Amino acid sequence: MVSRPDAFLLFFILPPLFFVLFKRYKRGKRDLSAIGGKWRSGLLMDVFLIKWFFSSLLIILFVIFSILALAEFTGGGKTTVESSSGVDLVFTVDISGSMLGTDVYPSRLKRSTDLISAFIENLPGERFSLVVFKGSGIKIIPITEDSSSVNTVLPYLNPDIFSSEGSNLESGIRTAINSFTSGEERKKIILLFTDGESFSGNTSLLSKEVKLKEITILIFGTGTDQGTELYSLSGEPLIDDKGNIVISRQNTALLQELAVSENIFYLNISDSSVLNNSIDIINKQAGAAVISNNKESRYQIFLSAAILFIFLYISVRIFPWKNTF
Amino acid sequence: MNNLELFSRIKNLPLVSSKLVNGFLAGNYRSVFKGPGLEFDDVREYSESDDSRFIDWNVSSRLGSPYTKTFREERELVLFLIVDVSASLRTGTGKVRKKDAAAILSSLLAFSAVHNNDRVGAVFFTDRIEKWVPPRKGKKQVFRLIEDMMDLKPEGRGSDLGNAIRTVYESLHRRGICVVISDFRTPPIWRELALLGKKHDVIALKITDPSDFDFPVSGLIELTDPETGATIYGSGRFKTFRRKYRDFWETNDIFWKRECLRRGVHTLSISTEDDPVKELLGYFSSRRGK
Amino acid sequence: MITFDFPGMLLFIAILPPLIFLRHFWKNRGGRLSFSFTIWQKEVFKPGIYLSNLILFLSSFLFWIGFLLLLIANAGPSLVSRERIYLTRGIDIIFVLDESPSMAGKDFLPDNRFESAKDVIKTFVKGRDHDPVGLVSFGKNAVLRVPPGLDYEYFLEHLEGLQLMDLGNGTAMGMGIAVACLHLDKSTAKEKVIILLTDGDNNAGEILPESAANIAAAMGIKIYSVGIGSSGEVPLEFTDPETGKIYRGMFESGYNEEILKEISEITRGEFFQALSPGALNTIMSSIDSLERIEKRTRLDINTTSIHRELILIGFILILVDFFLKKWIFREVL
Repeated sequence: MVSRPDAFLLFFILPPLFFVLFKRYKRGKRDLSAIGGKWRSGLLMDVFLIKWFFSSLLIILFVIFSILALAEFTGGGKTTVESSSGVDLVFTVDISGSMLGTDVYPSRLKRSTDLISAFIENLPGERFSLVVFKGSGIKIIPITEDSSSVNTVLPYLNPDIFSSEGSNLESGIRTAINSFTSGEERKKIILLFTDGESFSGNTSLLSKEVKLKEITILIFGTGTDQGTELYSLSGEPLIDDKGNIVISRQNTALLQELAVSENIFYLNISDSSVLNNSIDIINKQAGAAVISNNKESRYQIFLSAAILFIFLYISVRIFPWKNTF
Repeated sequence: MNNLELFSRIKNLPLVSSKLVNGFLAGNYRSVFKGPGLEFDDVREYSESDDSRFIDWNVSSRLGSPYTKTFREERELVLFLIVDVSASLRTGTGKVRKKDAAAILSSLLAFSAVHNNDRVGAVFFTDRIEKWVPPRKGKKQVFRLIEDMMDLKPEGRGSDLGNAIRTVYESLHRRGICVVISDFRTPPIWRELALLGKKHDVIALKITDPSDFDFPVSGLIELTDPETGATIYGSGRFKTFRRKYRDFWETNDIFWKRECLRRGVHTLSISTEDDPVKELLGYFSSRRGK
Repeated sequence: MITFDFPGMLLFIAILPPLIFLRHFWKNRGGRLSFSFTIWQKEVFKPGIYLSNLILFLSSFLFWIGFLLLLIANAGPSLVSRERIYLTRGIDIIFVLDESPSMAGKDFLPDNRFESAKDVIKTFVKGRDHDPVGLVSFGKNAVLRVPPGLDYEYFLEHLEGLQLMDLGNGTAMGMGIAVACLHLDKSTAKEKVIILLTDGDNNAGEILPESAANIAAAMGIKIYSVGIGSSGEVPLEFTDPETGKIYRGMFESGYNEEILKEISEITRGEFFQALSPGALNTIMSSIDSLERIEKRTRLDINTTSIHRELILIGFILILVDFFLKKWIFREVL
């Protein structure tokens, strides 16, 4: 089994490697006759050809075997069972302006908070935390068993509670990650409510970090692909620089892109079965035992070979051939 | 170039060497020796090849073995070659090594001397005296000399020219012509050269190679000096490197020429690229013209 | 911390120094062309140090680092992190802190009663180990500031942010206790504790301290009540958070000892009197030692193997050296 097939992409360096080796041969011959002198060119070319051939072969073998080592062939391994004692849920809510979009009844934000209440009701005895984000993420309620404190705050969530502009998804998720406390074997789950619109921050590294910390993320897309007009406080539709009415659409592609990893799920809030589906996921994640199969990687054989080849590659250079070079 | 090739080239040299006589030995140097006929010079132990007429009976009876008088003919000269066989001559970027060029030039000069019925001797040096060939006459002597030169396996790697010159100065009593054949990558020799110049006519013959001035355009290469074993990175693609290299050796060459001339030593540079015979002939014919 | 699955493999690192010597310093090493560039015993042509030389040095350096990383990776390195896992549930503690203007009383030097109370709470919380803590403050009204949880950082941050008079002029002690009780409702802790710090008499709010204490007793919550300050005339100075006005003056201080005693009795807690910051400290540490339960913990060892990262970096470094020398510098040999 190859557990990291992406390593095979590195084989793409072989063509340039071949090219360089080939050019090196041609240039080497030319340069050597320029600097080595014709009186011994026969000897020089012999030695050069021998050394070029072996060092090229060895560097190619080194590259191939390093890549094989990186591909992590696995087999066997041991299964470990970890039990967890409950779930910590961090509700992470986007409160940027677009969350007021009404393409979802009554609004994207209201629908989100309703869903959160439903979660709290359906998951008694778990711990909850509430994080909101706009220009940056803010922890409103730290992890607590006291679900009523979350419930109390929910009705007051709206874009005006913070003045920072934008929708910094990265900061939001980061704040959520930092909300978890250590010292217990509880399943960590982030429930992210966002329309993914005009977000900022670099989320590319997050998925790895999240996986490393064994955190599960459920992304709830709060808007629709059709989108909606946004209204200002006075009730008039928002208009952009060119005088067009601003249409707010959910960035579904982005949200689904985030959910490629196996511990990140994407759901749409407008789905009628969203609550049941997500509670299923949560229960599955919170299941009494976490079975993880740590397969043993067989990289060592390949790596040893790669090391041997690079060692020989160096040796070919170090030891002079025919008393020449 | 292997020894066989070199030897075949040297075999043809006697033919051209006669041309050299006019310029090289019969030319300028004739004037330095004055006086008519035979001139008593020295005594040495008698050998079978010697003419019995010249046995010095006085000396012989005193020393108990036969000694013969040697005479210096008016036109009899000693050509003494001081040949560098150090490791730095075993390099070169052209068809031949500096060493090969030196061999051809020495042979040519030796042939021309013999052709003129002059005596020829040589010293081969590295950082020590590798071989001393006393001056003698005859074709045999030239071939012996060439053979010695070819078969010589130098023990030293460096080039202590000063030492060689001093030895020649101390051992060569009679006035002669000394030709120093070297790449002159040696410690300063000016004092020795001046001393030698007082007694003999000295020509400094520098063997050069195109790579002595311009580093060949090539990729990066680690170079090791054959004499010292020092290592540098040569990178003929870098302008800075090539400029520094050129400056260094050009300054060195100019300095060499100036110092030689200041001490009355004639200089001549012959590149491994050039035909040594043509260069040498050209040089002496131009000198005669002066 | 790093551990190795096959530490024996690290011995191979020993081949590096001789290899580096042979490759860069050995006087008979290959890869060099003989070429005369010195004047015997006089001068050596030196190209000097310029940028490309420096890059070459660096390039070789990268190569050897890469080699080293591969050798280390071959020993199966893993990062080990230890995490203490608590197997028993801690005690839930909610502080109920008086925010009324009288807490500005300057009989608690160097600052006032309020700051002294904040300080002792801070020390108390820092000394706790995996016990959820919460914070309720009251003035005319009572508000939950921090729900009971293990996020001490969040707790301390919000404790620091508390201001006098934020909740108006008054002492809704009963409300404070009731709010705390409300938020302990969902708690699964075996032991639940409220620590009440006040310097006045209940004079606001709809709930009387006694009835609040009864609720607490019914929920199995212990209340430790701490009466702060001495009775008598006390100087006072505080800034109204709304108007920014500074108030100074003297006031007749005194808390209702009877009520506090009663609250504690109803809930089987204890009542303390704190006349000075020192006394307050002592009281808190005695509560601290009273409210300790034995905790069972276990060490969780998480190992993350890092060989892949090392191989990748080593591989890249070696190839960088290769392409730099062979392609950019066009090394011949």
